[in-house]
Amino acid sequence: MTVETAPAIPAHVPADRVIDFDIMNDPALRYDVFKRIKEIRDGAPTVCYTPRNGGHWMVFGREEIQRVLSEAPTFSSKALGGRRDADGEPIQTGPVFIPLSLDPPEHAPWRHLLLKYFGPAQVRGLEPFVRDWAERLIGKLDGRTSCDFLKDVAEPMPISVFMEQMGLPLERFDEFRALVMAALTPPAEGEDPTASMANHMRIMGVLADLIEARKLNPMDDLVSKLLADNIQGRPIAHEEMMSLCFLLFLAGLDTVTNAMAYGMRHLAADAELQEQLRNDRSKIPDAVEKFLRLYTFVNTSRLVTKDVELGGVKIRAGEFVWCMLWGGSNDPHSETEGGRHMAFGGGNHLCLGMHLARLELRIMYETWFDHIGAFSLAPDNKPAMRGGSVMNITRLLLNMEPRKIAA
Amino acid sequence: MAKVTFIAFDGSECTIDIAAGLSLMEGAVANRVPGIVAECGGAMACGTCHVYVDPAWAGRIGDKSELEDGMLQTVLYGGPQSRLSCQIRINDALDGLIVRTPQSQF
Repeated sequence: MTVETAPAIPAHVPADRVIDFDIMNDPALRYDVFKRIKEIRDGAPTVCYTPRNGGHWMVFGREEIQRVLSEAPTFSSKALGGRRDADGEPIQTGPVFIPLSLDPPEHAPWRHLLLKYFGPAQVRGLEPFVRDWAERLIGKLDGRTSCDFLKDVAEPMPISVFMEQMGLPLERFDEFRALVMAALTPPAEGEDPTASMANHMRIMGVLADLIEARKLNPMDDLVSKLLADNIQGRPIAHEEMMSLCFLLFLAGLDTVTNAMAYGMRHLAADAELQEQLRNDRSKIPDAVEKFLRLYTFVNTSRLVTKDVELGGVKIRAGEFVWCMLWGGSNDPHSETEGGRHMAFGGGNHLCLGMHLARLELRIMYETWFDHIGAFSLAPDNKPAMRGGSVMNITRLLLNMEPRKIAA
Repeated sequence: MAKVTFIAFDGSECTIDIAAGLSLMEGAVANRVPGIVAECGGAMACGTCHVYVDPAWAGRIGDKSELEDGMLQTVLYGGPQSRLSCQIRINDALDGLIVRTPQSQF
């Protein structure tokens, strides 16, 4: 293990803006990411600087976040992930994720191409198979008195929905799930980093095979539809198809998993709300939004491309800004209650899959209450979360009672 | 400045003043008009500020761009009067504008 020595603070950063916080490895994040992020936010200026992880700004205020997400390319998506190379230069040469790592004006045509398949009207059509998968997974818990909600529901459900939507054969579910879990889990200390590269290559292989198969034999799935579609009057090139498919894969799996698990974690500790939702399913959509607000778990970064002032402080070109979206969703200086939260980000990169995510969440809760009675958190004192750009929960142990059937 | 009336799906009305130069969406969000979500904040990336423009006003609010038209294919309950309120710029001539909001934005 290497011990990172904190790099020097750039001279233009005022001392009262500096906070020593490691968003990747801070130990307290592992027990409760939201409690820790709130602590940091409460004790820091709304725009502050940490020397950890190569040095970056953190923005907690709703208005400032909205500005960062709206002012591209001053705040650019081109160096996604906020990484720097050995010379300290922002890495801009990694994989280009279409459209996630594109700035205007390149971004818009791709966004609008994909929105045709992810708009609210289109996503409604996916409801039957989302419900079918929720039934299959949650139905298996009938008669059980405990589960790990991650393993039993929150991980497999988005994976099966993704496979079905893309057109991946579901008889390969177990194999694909193993690839997904390996891809989304950061390598443990001392683990060979080339193993994760090999895993990525296997996923790219599965996607490449799928694209080739649908070129020869189109079916009624998203890959076939994209192959038949066009971007600004021309077909989508193979490399572009790979980029789109790999991004859909990365973006739509662990995010939905986390949203499901954080919401269920809240409900497991809130018997009153459980009872309300069990008795009145029409309250589920509002509960989904409440959980997205309280447990906004994504931090999204941008590369600053020209000197700019934000929240009363000068930020230099070449620096990274992390938008701490939980802060934007729960800003005490902004009346967010009843307004919108920032769980899906904002601006031109607002989560493309938000309507699908909401659908999966709503149907998961509806199906859960059809099958399961009162439930609560099972004793578990080991850390189950981790920091980063997606603040994950990796385990949620629940005790469940059978559903009482009214006589 | 223009007075704009929003009529919700349930028939309830809400009239607000919007300064010239703002978009209809920005005015609605600042005044917390129910039925306008505007998740992306005006980047034409979400389609959740969908409104129906009263036919009497359709000729005065400017034409849809191709991108807006594409976005409107993705909304729920879209129709011939559908517009994105983030793409309608307010000017004094729009005083008295009436728009309706859909049953839901998503």
